[in-house]
Amino acid sequence: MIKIENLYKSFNELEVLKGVDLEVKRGEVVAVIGPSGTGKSTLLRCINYLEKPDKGIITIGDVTVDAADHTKKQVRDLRLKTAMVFQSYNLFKNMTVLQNVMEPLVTVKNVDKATAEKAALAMIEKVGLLDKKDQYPSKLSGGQQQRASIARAVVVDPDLMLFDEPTSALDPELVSEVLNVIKELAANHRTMLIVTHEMRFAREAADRIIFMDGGVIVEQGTPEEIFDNPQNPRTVKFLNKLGAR
Amino acid sequence: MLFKFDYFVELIFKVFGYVGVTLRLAFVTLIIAFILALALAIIRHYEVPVLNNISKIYVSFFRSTPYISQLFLFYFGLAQIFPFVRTMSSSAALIITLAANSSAFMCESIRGSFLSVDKGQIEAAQAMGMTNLQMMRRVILPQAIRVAIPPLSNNFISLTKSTSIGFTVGVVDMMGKAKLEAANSFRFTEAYAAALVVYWIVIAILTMFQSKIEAKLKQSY
Repeated sequence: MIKIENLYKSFNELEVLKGVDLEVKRGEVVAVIGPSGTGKSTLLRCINYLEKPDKGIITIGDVTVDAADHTKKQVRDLRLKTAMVFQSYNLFKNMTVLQNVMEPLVTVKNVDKATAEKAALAMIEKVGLLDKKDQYPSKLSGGQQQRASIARAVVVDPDLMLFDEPTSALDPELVSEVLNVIKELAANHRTMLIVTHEMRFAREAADRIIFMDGGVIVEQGTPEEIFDNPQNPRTVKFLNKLGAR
Repeated sequence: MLFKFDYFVELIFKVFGYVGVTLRLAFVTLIIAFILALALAIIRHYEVPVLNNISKIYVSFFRSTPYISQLFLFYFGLAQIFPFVRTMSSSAALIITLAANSSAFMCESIRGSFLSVDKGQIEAAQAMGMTNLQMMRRVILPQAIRVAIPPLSNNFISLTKSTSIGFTVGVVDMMGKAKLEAANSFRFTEAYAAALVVYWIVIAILTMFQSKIEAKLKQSY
């Protein structure tokens, strides 16, 4: 069970998250959409404490972290329950694809090398990169790197997967190969929170759409509700601008 | 007094005979200095409480004062206060002070290399739950080392040249030999020119190794 309560985050003078409450059910795929600079990425980054929230409680399963009173260990436990896919992939440059995918198992979860390698190879095959397993990231295309980073995220079987604009940095031709991998994960009922600008993808893959604007959740609902019948005028304005209705 | 070329060449070989002394001093100093510098760099990078401020003062002191005065303070000055310094060999004193001095410069080279690691790499490591130590070991050090080799090589070349100051406290290395020969023969030009030629050759060879290491690292990923 994933619960975010009363999340506030400011960067110096600028208040970016102004009280966000969110619950995600196991196996649910939630897409977060909204104008740029509205706190979507910040929300994601607060969940795994890459940004430290000013106020709010984050609960994933049996781990609860309160911004006002928490330990380093709690933050680490929280991170062990999540996995993140970054806009700029962030594969470890000094490791091959296989080494990258094995890394969270071997170093963080203390899994023995043989078991980790088996699990990693299975994931690498699933994302279609088996022929590239011994390549370094510098030799891969953006789409390949992102698929590798997705494999690295899934291999630890996280309670919650966080996707921070996974295709925003990709050349258009490479976007669909990555979206297809994410769609497959969604079909397998991975719990996912995806910040994206790909509206068609969000409509097809998500169970729930959240529209964020000005640091708060303005409206949320099923894809049909949000895209076909938005209630809030701000939602309508955003969707009209995109021509996504 | 005309320049005696055969004596000059003879001296080059004589001074070269002491290259072992110079290199031994340089490498032992390098190893001690590097370990110290790595510890200092990690303390400074993570801003470890208390130790961070001590490190800042240490680095500032050793970088801002001339090496020869650091050596003299230790070998002559502290010898008046501490018996263990008095009984220490001049080579040991040279190595200790030079290692302390070099570690300050090398700390900055290493610290700079840590900062050169892309922030996204760190975030990926954090997001998967790595501790700072795991991150340092698995991600930062392997990537930083490439960036650190050129400035560290320069630090090493500097410290190798600084071993020549050892003669002021009685260490007979290459420079020491040159000076002794000069004192005997009064042929200062030949002696000091020979010393410079030998240092030039030794450093040129070390620089060649540096290029090879850099080329090898460049290939890996």
